[in-house]
Amino acid sequence: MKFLIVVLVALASVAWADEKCDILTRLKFKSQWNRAYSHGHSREDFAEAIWRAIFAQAPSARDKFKRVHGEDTSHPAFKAHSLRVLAGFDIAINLLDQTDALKAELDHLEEQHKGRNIPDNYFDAFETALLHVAPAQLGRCWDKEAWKECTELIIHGIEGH
Amino acid sequence: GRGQHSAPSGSERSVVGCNSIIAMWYLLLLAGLAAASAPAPEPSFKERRLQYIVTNQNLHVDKLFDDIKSLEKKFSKLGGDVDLKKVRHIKARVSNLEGDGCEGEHEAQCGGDVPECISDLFFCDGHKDCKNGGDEDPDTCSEAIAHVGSSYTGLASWSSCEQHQPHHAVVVITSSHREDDFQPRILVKGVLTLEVDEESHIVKTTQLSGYYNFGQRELVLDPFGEKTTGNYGVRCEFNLGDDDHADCEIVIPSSLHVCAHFNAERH
Repeated sequence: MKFLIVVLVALASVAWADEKCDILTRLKFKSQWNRAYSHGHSREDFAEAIWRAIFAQAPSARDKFKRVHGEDTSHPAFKAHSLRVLAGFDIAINLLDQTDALKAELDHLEEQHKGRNIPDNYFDAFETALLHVAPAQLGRCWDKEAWKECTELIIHGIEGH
Repeated sequence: GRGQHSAPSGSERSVVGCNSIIAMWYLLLLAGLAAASAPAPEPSFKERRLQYIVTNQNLHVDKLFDDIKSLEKKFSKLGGDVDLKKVRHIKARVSNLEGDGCEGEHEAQCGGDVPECISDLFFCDGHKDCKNGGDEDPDTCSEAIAHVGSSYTGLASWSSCEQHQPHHAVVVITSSHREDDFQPRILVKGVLTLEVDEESHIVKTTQLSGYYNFGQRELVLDPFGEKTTGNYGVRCEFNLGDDDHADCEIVIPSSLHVCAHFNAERH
């Protein structure tokens, strides 16, 4: 009997650990994101730092952003674009604890990215950039694993696979 | 010479030449002997007067030399120039009191004549953001502070959290790394050592992990890893004009509540 309980507890904890970006992780990510997302100038700079880090990893990704002056990350048109991207990401993160609404938002974002032939590694570059800039922006109290798991959940939703 | 001329090949001419050379040497020798026995001629009055003047002039120069020496001695007693390091420290302290005029949490000063603030997320990333390029200045972007092996020591005095008497605190950098795609921070690991009790040599160590921020010239380290015995983080601001002195705080990581303070020096 004792053995059975031990096995059951072990199985349960494996199942728990297996679920990435679980509800508590989502809440943690959400609150840390809101601190990092910040406001005003600081938000603009946060967005630009992320895009610089993306283009540092994948310089060819700039070509996808010709329409919004991707050649210069400090161009007003590109700044506006980068803030729009973060705004979309922000909506998705804030809906992480409302599954249906999250699904609708991710479907919407997937629709917007469809047909642009965005290779997976550009999405990877976004994730890496976010995970490098976020701790610099937060300065303290950040859970890398939580950010990684939940960012991947959102990105996979946008990629559609 | 003789042996040479006894050779059968010696001609009449060379024998005559040889004889005349021997005669010359003989005469020279005689003249030398005569000179040695004669008394040396007295220097003339004119010459002595010249010598007198030369000696005098030398003495005069010697006196001037002594005068200069004593003047130099007096001058050296006036105290030397101020050490350039000291000047840098004072300038840094004055500018700390003036403040940098940057409002946001993440803003830092470009430096130079015209004040300008930019985000510390843009310092040392290879892209000039300050109008004067101050954010990419080699001094600003020096990695020296975060070099592996750097250690910063000071006397920590606690104002809350613990009841320790003032004791030594040491921060040692054990690893450092800079991401290729995000250069404005150096990721560092380190160890905080608190020499709590000098007699029994009880030492508390905490493994730290954090970063160096070029724009703010700030080293931020929080506890990390499971083998940690302490639960304090460290924040050091290198605001004294060089890479060797910092204003450090021992803090509670979650709230940044300041527990202790120490003026750190590189060792």
